[in-house]
Amino acid sequence: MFRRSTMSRGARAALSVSLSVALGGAAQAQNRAALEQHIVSLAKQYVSADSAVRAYDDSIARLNSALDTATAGAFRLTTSRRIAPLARAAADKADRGLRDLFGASTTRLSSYRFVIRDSRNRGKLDTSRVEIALSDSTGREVLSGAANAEVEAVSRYLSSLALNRLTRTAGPDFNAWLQAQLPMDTMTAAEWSKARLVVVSTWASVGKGCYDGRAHDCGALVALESTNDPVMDWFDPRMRREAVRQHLRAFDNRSETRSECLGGDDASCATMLHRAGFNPLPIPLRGSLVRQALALGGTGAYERLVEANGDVPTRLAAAARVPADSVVRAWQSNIRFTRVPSDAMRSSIAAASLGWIVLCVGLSLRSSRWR
Amino acid sequence: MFGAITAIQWKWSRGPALLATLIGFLIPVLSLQSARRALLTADEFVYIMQQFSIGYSMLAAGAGLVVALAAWAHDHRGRHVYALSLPVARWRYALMRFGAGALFLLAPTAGVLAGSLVVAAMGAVPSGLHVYPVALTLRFAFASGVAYAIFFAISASTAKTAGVILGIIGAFLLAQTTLAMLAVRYDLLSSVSTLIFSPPGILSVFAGRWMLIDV
Repeated sequence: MFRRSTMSRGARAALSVSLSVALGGAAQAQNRAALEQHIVSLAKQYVSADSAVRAYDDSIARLNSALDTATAGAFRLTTSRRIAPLARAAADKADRGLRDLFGASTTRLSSYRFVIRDSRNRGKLDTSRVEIALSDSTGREVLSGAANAEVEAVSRYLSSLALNRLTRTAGPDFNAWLQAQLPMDTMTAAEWSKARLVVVSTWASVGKGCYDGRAHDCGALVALESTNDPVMDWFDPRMRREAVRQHLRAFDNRSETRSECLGGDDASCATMLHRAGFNPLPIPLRGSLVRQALALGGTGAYERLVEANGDVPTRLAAAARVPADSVVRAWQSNIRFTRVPSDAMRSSIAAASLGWIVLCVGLSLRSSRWR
Repeated sequence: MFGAITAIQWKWSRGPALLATLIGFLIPVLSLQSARRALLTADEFVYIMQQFSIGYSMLAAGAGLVVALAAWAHDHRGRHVYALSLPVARWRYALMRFGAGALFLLAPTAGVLAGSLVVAAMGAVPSGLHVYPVALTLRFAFASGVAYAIFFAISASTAKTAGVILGIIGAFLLAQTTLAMLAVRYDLLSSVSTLIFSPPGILSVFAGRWMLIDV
């Protein structure tokens, strides 16, 4: 890489020559000098940034070496002496919550250390906040943040960090598919309504197909099933043109291909969408499917999900204790039929309004004008 | 006597009431026409429908205001001499005035209901969304009722009472300015606004989502 000690003059020269050959011609000599200058500038910036990161890591390591260690359930803690009771209480609380969900899988957290230390504000101790970080087996902090110095707040943050790591234990395929943390709660009726809006608003035809009850389309919508060419299979020419118009505004916006597409040439639209890697599937829906699977599975669902081996449908089926397509069908049913009362009117609004009307009428009847 | 009061008050209020009825019918229909032009995705449809929410709340507030002012306009001009000379308890007289005006608010409410039912019948709503004509109409009825009651009470009060109310509003503004000058970081007006517009505040019926079509 571009370290001062490893990027020799020879390597830079070789890179410059190869660039010159690619550009070619005497007229490229000026470009070569500019490119060399640019390479040197980039190398300096990289070295500077790398040094800053190393200096930060060293300072954190020095800070953490002065801390005490403790264990609270699945949590291996490194904490300041002053806030050790707070840290232990918060970790115990978080551990209880996680064990309820993940059971024995919480032992997977043993390779991490949760650091809770004093917070400083402009060099002064800030007793109202604590810093919380997650360090890996090498001692390097991979995640960090701060929370109020209260058991509930610290416990929530620790749970969030732990959940982040436990989600990763579900395997790279699952994480690449979900692209979010495992959810810790079940869907509410309001959330099903929002998910329904996402489904019916999806540009791809599988959205409407899923809403209408076609199980294969639901599987495609949440990327459990795929097709060779989503751009052609899930869109009609009109939607392809609108996708280019609305979603690829900054992409090739002056090109002839775009003009041809917007003029009605479907092949140009398809070319642009393929080139841009257009993905019409709404990723947040996958979280709702996971929550459906976990709700179906009941006790031990989280543990079964992370411990299962296999692809995403296998993990969902293991969590729910039913086949994956049954999970999808239950999910589709909730998407379609779960309703919340309209925001337009609620009994609380009616009651409050009637109360205020009665009060105002009472005041007008007792006006001093009449007495 | 209530019939006579209603008849005479109708003469004063029929213009604004009928105009409010027409507007109440048109808002739902126009909102659907606007959203249909952008009929690509359901979320865009909901977003456009939401833009018309302010129309319903403003119409409710405006109808309540105008009908309340019309209820007392003639009495104010005659300095309430006629009202006070009638052989009826004063509170009963005020209650009949209130009742008559409240009846006239049924007209714009019916207009909103008719327009909403037309939207529901047109069948132009994207799949996955639902129409709530009755819920919206009820909210409109309560909102216009609250606005009418507030302005009716203010109109029925004396000038001294109106002065007290204005003084309270002025005191809040002065307090906010004073806090700002003293570098105290407390937003008094936001707190008061939250009290008024959040449930169960007096104006909470006007806040929130007035959605004829929603998910």
